[in-house]
Amino acid sequence: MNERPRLLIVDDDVELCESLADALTDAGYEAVTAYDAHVALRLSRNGPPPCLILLDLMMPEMTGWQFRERQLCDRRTRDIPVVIMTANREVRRHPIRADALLLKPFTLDELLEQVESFVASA
Amino acid sequence: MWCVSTEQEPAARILVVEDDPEARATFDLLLGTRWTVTLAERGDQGRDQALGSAFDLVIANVQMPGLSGIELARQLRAERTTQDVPLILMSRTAGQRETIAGLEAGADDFLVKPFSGRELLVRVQTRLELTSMRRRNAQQEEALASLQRTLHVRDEFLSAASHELRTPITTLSLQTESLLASAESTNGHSSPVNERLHRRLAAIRRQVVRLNQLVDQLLDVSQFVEGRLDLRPEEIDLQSLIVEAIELMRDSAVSAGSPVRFRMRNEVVGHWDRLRLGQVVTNLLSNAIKFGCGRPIEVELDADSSVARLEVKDSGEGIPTQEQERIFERFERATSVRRHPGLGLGLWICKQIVDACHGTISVESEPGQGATFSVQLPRAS
Repeated sequence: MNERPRLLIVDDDVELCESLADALTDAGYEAVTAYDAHVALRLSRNGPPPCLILLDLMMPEMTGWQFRERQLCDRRTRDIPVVIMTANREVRRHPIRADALLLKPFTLDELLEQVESFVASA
Repeated sequence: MWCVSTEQEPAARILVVEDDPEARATFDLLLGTRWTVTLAERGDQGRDQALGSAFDLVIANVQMPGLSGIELARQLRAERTTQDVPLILMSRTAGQRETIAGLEAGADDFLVKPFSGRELLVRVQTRLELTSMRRRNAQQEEALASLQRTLHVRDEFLSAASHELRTPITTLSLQTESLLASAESTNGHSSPVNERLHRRLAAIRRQVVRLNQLVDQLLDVSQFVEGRLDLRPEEIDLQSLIVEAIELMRDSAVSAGSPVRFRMRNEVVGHWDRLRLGQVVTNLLSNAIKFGCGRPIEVELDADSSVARLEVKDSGEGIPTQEQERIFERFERATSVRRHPGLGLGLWICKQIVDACHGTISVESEPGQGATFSVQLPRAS
């Protein structure tokens, strides 16, 4: 099997999105980027499903929470694990419907460790 | 501390509503030497004057043809602009019913004629002082509310700015580490160019870490001030927490020439917030490295059944006695910003965390002999 695990990165900060994609591509993944949640929903519904979604919460138009609600309602996407990326420490106070949390700023090691744990168990 | 203005206040303005011309003249004579007096000969005229211009006190006769003093009082109290103006009513009859009617209509005081000039002056003076005091209190309350609003806006800004800064720091951190990883992977063929590149990238990474620590401190300020220090106690082994903190600070300690020695008298396990306590140890170590003058730093951990004690001791420049209290305050430091840059928040943050754990933090120091910071933590916090 030469196919690289496919990851979907959703963040309205283009530079961060691309930096994450670069780092994950270097680490051997196929990284797909979406700068807004609408595009992310389309990408996760159509085409090969990613084995993990890295999701920002604070995005204009559709937030990460709204994305998550729609994702969970759709049988094509509801089983894809999601790692939330946020700068907001308050998020730890509330139960969050996600599989893991990466608090910004996170390091490359923290990112890879988190991604590997999901890809390995996929 | 509030500063009360010592400037001379302008003379108070008094409106006298009295239908008797002789009495009016007497009021003018008695009061006019100290205050600015305006005279009205009828109730309705007095009401119009009170509504048209700001007075510090109104004195009105009860028995007047047309609008009586009591009705005047009611009308003044019904208007927004005059509802708080102090009002003294005066009457020839000393009947209780009339006094009560006057007070019910909104009068602040009641004078029964005949009264002496001295009594009038004392009553007017007292009433004006009360008004002035009430006004100053209101001004101070307004100033305090305004200050609190400003502080709230500042803390909101600090919080928003810290959040906004985290995204670019993440990008910077990822890019730097990816580049470092690339530089390390090509270091197989070690060349001076690669080594130089590696050194420079490592310097950028250190600065990114520092930048992130500064942002964390700014965010902590706004959270602590709003009382939002949310501790998450879990069972932790203090020894491993301290070893991790020492490891984290190793590069800075090595470059400052201050080796860190750790001594533990007995094993200490307790319930504390791992992240926050790690922050306390890191901040104390960071200070010891910064002010330790390149001499060894000693960290000691001890405990009995109820309290854990941590000491971080440096042999640096020390802290003058008069500054030892102040260094735990926000934005304070025992030295100049130029010599040791920083926000002056490290020890304040330590104190907030230790206080929240119901512990204590203190310092012992002699100038030139270094400083020992001691933290005591109840084990059941």
